[in-house]
Amino acid sequence: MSVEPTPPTPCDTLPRSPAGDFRTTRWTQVRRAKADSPEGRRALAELCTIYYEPVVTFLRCELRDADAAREFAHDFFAQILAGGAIARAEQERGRFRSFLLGAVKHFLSHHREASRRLKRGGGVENTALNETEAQALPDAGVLSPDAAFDQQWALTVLAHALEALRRECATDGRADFFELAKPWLTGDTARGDQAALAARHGLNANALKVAVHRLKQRFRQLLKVEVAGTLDDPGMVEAEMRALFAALGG
Amino acid sequence: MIESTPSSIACPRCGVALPSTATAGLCPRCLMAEALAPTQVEAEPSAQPPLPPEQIAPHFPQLEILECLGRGGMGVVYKARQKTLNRFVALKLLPPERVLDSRFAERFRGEAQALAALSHPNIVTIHDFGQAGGYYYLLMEFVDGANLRQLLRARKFTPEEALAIVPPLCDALQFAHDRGIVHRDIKPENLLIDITGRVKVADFGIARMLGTANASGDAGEPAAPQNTTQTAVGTPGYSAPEQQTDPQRVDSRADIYSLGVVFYELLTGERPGRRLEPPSKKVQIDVRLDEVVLRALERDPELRFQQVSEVKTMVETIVQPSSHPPPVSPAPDVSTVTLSQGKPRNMSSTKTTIAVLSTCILLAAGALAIAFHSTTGNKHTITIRAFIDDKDNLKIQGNKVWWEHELGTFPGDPKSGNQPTFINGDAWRPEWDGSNSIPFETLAPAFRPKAPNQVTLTKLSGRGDAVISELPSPANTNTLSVHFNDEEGGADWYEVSIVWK
Repeated sequence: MSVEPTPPTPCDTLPRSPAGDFRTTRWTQVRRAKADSPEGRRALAELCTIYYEPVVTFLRCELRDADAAREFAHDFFAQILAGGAIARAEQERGRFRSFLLGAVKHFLSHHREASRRLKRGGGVENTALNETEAQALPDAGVLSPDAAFDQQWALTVLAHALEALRRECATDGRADFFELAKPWLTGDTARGDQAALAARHGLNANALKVAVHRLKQRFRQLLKVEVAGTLDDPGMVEAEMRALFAALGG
Repeated sequence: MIESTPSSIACPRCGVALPSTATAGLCPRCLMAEALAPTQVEAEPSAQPPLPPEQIAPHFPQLEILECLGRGGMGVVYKARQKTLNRFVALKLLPPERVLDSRFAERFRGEAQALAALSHPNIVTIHDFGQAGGYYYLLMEFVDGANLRQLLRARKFTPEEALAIVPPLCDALQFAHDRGIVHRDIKPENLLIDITGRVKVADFGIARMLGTANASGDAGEPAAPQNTTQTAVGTPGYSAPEQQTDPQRVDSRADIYSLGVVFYELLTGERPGRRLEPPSKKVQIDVRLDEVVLRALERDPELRFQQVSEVKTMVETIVQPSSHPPPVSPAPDVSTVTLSQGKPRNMSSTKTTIAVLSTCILLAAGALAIAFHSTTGNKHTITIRAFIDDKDNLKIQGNKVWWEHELGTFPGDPKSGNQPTFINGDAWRPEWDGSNSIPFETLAPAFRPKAPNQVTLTKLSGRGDAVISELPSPANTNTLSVHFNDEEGGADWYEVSIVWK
């Protein structure tokens, strides 16, 4: 009776939906891609499209200027898509989130350096605070740019997972059920609502409980897929989720 | 300048203010918090994590192993598809570390055969059992749903919901007890609710299969490992006192105790503590339920209910209709005979001769029905009040009356033209004589109806009208099918009265 298992995998394995697989390997794809391979660049481009918002948020916090932020973001992503960041990606293990933040910061400091040189007549190290740096001083009631980035990242991840769930329900013809049941994704709501929802869908209360439970489970799965898509090691999903929760003020 | 984030109101649950437009109006923090909370029960740390499906598959060529459903002290369960029959099944592999003794194989076979003979709608059916790949396995009915523990964690049960679970649970237990099988480990984790709301009891007899001190008194067995929390003595908190102190003398009344614990937990949200507080002191319920729960929880088996069916009977005499009570105020008062559309009419001249033979409260999936039988002279009437919608069929055939419904009442797959969805891998069959039948014997033991003389349908609530759309044809007088055509749609209270003269 000696069965030799290969290294055990967690029982709660990720769902095998086609989208899930694709997302899961995307960051890994990027990392393993050769410097100029089309696959690597495409995967990176896709990831960047999805996680565009956090970059803009970070830049807005840094630059204190919404228009400048958008311009910078545009330039930044253009550079990424041109393949400029792939080399860095190979070094950055683990998380796309860290990679992207690092890449943006690098890009930003590079541009600041360049613009400083232009303004001050080139090459002169300037230790005085220029405008942007002064404004970057932390403000009591406001998030630091890094924290804002992480928070927006968490919001983006949640939004995508929720949208995926909504689409799934709509495909199954359960769009109304999703709309009515989605408050339960954040936890308990008033009992009275469940009874009404149950009656409306012709379910008895216990059948509704199961349906709501299912919806929550599915959301959790989709969220994990979303998060796993940005990680190299799917085993780190829980830890990443906790970090994102902390970024939401947890 | 940083743009102020729109729609950032502090969430009433967590107090944090975050923009919620991207997350469909839901508080992102609560959404994440809820997603982090596990829905699976934390399994006890067992010797090794479960094998992934690919490792199991070679040992079961007749199955397509799909995914791991969960893990508990009683083994790992996988969802699989039986290739030949093309249905979903649950494959349970018993934990090898629990197989401690030489006589396990024999005991396993004996128990499994007895369990396989338990065919009851509220008991998870065993299809097959055996040994493969070094594991003892059970092939069982796949129940598409959740267990009571998961549902309890999500939300507290209302008294009505709790009371809807107990009677079918009693039916299942009584059925098994009548066949000499005691569950020994009744607890919320072993009580499944499928997507139609039906209760199914799982893991019958497994405790005994894996256990050491069993009723046959094999004292020579090695003791269960110290670090396990679930043994033949049941699960702490749910097992009857005698399961710990006197395992040789455990009988069906131990299940009644565990049922009492579950009942208590359903009603109050907590298990009974050191000092047993009556449920009515903790939640607003009928105080008569205290008696049922407390009697089930008697420490001395002699003082408990002696049969599970007694629990059911008591509950049924107490239970109120659901949160949608029939607007007609009389409770099942069979001095009222409904003869025509609408108004119940008291027939004073016949009051003295009317007797109620029995009342049966049927809590079938999707419908709460109260059926009662009355006679006036040689006229028999079955009256059924039920909260149903126009997708349900009332059928009477021979000496049974039952509900059929379009199970899985989500709209069906649009591609197939709104067909009913599946349960347990089977398509709903119109002729399905399900467990929702009420044999007339239970209502009227001496009564053998022939074709009815009169059927009337009364819609008791809601607007609009309903019409019987299908009556027995002359060629088939034994079968009556009443299909309601409700213009308004949705569920309502109906009363159907069937009269035989």
